[in-house]
Amino acid sequence: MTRTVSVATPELDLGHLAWFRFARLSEKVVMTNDAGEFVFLAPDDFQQLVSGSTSHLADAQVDELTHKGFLRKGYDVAAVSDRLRRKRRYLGNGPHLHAVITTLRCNQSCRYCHASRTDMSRVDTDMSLETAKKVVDFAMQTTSPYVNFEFQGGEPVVNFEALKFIVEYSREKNKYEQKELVHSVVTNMTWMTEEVAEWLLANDVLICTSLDGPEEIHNWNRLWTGKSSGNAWQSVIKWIKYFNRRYVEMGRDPNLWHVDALMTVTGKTLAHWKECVDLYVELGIRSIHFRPLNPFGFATRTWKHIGYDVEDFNETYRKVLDYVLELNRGGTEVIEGTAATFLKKMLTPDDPNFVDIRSPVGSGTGQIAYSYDGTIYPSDEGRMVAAMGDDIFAIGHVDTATYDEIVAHPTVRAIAVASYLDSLPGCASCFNAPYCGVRPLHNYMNTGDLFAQRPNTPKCGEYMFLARELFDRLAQDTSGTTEAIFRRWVIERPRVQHPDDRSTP
Amino acid sequence: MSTVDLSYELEDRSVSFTVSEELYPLAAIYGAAYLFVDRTWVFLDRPADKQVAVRLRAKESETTEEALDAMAGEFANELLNQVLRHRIGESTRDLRAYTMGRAFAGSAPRASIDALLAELDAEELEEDDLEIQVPWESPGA
Amino acid sequence: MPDTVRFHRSLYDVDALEAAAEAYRPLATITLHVSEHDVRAEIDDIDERVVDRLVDAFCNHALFTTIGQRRQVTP
Repeated sequence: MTRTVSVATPELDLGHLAWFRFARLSEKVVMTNDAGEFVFLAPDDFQQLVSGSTSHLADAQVDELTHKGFLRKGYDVAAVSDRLRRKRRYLGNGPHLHAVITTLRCNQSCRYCHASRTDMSRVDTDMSLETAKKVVDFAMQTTSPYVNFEFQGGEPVVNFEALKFIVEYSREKNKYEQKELVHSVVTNMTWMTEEVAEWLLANDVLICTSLDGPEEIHNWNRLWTGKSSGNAWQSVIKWIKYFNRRYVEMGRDPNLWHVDALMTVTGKTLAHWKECVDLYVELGIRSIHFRPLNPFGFATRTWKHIGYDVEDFNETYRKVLDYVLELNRGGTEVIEGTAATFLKKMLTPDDPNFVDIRSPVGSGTGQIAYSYDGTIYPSDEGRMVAAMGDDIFAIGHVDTATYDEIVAHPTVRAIAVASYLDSLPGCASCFNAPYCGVRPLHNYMNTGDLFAQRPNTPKCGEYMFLARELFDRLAQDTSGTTEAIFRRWVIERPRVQHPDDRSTP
Repeated sequence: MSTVDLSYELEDRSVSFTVSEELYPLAAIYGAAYLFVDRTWVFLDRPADKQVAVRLRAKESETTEEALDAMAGEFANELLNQVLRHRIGESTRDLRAYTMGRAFAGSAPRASIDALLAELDAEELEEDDLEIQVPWESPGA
Repeated sequence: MPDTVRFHRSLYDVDALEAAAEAYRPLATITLHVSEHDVRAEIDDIDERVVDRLVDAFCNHALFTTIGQRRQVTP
């Protein structure tokens, strides 16, 4: 049966245009370019633009297109290349995020855990001080002027001795290396004591924890078993309040100094998203990261109990974003974390250098992970793959590898090639390219292939949906209220640091 | 603004287009086909010189005619979007290369003190004129 | 009786077809016959769990791999 479809198409006359990508949103067309600039045009205006005309546009629109580098007339190569360089300045720096797995021991057994946790008796999975020293020596060779040691596990404070040593030794080394030095710990709070807490506070170690929502959801997701078991949720709440109270007592600005929390969304969360957001607001947690499950570790086995389709996640995410914006309009200061990452790329001249959402991805080039035994991975995800029995992403050992060998490792290069958006079909011409990122290790876990068929991947589905949601809201924001809220989300103020963490000006 | 009529064959679970590469460069056909691999089975063939046949078959076994017509319409629109993307890429290739080159031609990053010392050590060890590295037990030592 | 699919070499790369054949080896026996203008793929012994979609999936995989390989990085 033969049928015909009629498609309106302009006669293309593109000689007056500079490079751009585009997408048709619900009401407007968005154009984006390499420098991360964007403009909205009505569909008819866009059609006329690509037909060679700007006479139909208001002067302000032509000025905007010119200033943002979309037109050849008035194209300022120096200004555009400056913006591009600033956006991609992470390319000139080595890894800044160094994930240190101080131990695999953990007293919880979260249903989605991808950290290959071991029982609390397994002291053989504690990082030795000798290995910890080598980790610091290795990490501080990075050419990045900024270094963040992020302690992970298991439960990292279980091996507090190694954690303390790394903080102190790296500070000592930094008197020589002169980096901007940051330490952070990702803790489940169930092993926290007042002694540990006070040491972390005194040493400016940033605290991040997991809070999956109200008590029933959190405790269902994050099982706490064994002799020392208790109520995980109550423990998290207790210590969030403790740290936040102590920051105030220490005279710190609570807007800058507070416990950060991450939410891992399981199927149980989707039906209770509003209670999760309300809990975060009630606790004064200003940033909600409504994060989907990762395809690693326990999650691969428990997926049918805790998992969901990306479409279901996206639909709930839209509700979360709507609600968070509504709270902002009512005066509550709270942001959604992944949206904020994209918005920093859209609304500021900088890139937040979030290693998981950039081109190329930061595995090996923006971050390195060090397992308790000194094995080096390009990211904590690589370590998770190894924990599942596949050591394909192990790239060296602190005993034997050199810095140059690691950052130039063929595995690191392969991951970079698989995530460099300008070279990937689909991604290279996608409007979202300036803001998005590919996760090759996710692709590998889902399909066995670093590249995968990206329109098929959950991450493409998630990020494309998010970018469209943000752009649609901005395009329809005639009053400017939404943009004003989004611009508050992207403000970053530096924390006052420990004196030995600052490079000498 | 003009209208392009694209004919397609509607068969069991599939729609098929035959397009001219002179109007739709292969890069544009690939670009559109690539974006449909998530929801359809895609097959390309060459029925004649400069002609490309594109068949999209729905993955679901139960598909309505309306759904197939909608898929055909989406593909036709995406094909034209890809032509625009291809043309703007061709049109701005040199400008973009120049801008990128200017943005990223910069100085080498500073090496840390440990790396510099390691380089110096390696250089010194290479020049072993006094054969310090040669063990006493080696012949000729 | 094997399924036979003919791929025009101007549209599908031989090494992409070889890569796809290798990827699907656990699920079928795929034999490629390469001639000047096309590659004939004979697909046999298909795992019964995927018999309704393996040929289509193989074609998608070969096309996807071809497109990826032919992607020119904009200088």
